[in-house]
Amino acid sequence: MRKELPTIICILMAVVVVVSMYFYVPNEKWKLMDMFDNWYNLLYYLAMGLGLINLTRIHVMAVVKRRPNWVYSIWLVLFMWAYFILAMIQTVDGPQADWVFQNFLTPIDSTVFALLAFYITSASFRAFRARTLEATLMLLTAFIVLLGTSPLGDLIIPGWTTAKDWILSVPNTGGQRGIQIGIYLGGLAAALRVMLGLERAYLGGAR
Amino acid sequence: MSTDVGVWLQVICTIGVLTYLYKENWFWRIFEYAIVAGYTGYSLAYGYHNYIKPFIGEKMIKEGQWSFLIPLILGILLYARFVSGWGWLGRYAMAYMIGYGAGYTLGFDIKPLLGQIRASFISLTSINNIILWLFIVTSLAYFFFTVSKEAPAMKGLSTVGKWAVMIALGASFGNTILYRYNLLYPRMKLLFNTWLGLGG
Repeated sequence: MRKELPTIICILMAVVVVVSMYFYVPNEKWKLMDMFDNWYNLLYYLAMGLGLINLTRIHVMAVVKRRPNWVYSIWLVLFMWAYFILAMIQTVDGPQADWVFQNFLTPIDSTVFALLAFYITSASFRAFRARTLEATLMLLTAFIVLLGTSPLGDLIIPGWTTAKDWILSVPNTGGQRGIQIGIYLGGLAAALRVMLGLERAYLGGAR
Repeated sequence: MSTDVGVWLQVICTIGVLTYLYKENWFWRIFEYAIVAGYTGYSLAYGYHNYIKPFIGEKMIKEGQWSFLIPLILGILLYARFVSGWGWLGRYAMAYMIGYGAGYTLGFDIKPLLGQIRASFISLTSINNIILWLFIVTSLAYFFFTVSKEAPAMKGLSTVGKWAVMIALGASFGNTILYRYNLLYPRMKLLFNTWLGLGG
């Protein structure tokens, strides 16, 4: 019941999904994949509730036990529940919920990602100091692509954009294709291990 | 200078996050915790209105599609982890999701994989095609772990493959830098243009 049945469900589910994909019958009454998709989506969002409860538990405990940065935990729990309740009442597109999303969450999100512009630049300088052939190749390509995409490249050296286009379409495609094929093969091997019941890490501990 | 409350809030958030460039500080932490809290609340509310409510309330109860009872029960079993000794019940839901994911990968990944392989069969009639083919073969050799890299042929192939991979990563790195600066530009536009009213 604790290990065998979940393993059977997992194997059965993988087989059923594969079969329903390879032997798709375009029939209105037999939309098997649609049904499994809907089940998955429903399960996915039901599981997301766990995140809300777990975050609340962890941060309430942080406040109770006065762990480092516990003050921020109060803010996290209050804001999370306030925004969740607001969005539940109005939907996420409701006037106030959307206002908070557009004027509060989106700027934070965008700025966090924009912040990486500075760190990624400093990381490239650090990589350059490694002075290996591989690091030099990588940074040189990045530099050509970077400058070639902006109008500056062609102003400095005419034909820079052509060089960038060549790098992107020939050596880059070759390397990327090797990486992509490797990723797909790795993914397929991992999926096959799950389908054959060899990979059972998702069952967790021995209890 | 803008008098819009929304713009001011955006500016406070932007400056707050940018203070991290100096060092980790209390002002930054407010926004760090807010993003975790906000997106958790948002995702769950979004899921409720777009999936849980239509599937359970509309399709199952109103239209009588009782098959939704299966994922609903599985989903409820996930919460058994909060009852001591019954946490293992959540494995059923996990098993469904992992099995679905594995099946989905096996069903869908074959097509793009074959597409990549098919596109690699090119006629070696130009320098570009020769370089492309060479880089594909060598980069694959770099990821081929069945044969020892110490074997003379493999050593040479995987070394060239490493260069090919580095060029590919360099191109991705360059594009990532550009993308990040593209995100930074609207933030600066907000600060200098929309908020302070500088520039056109």
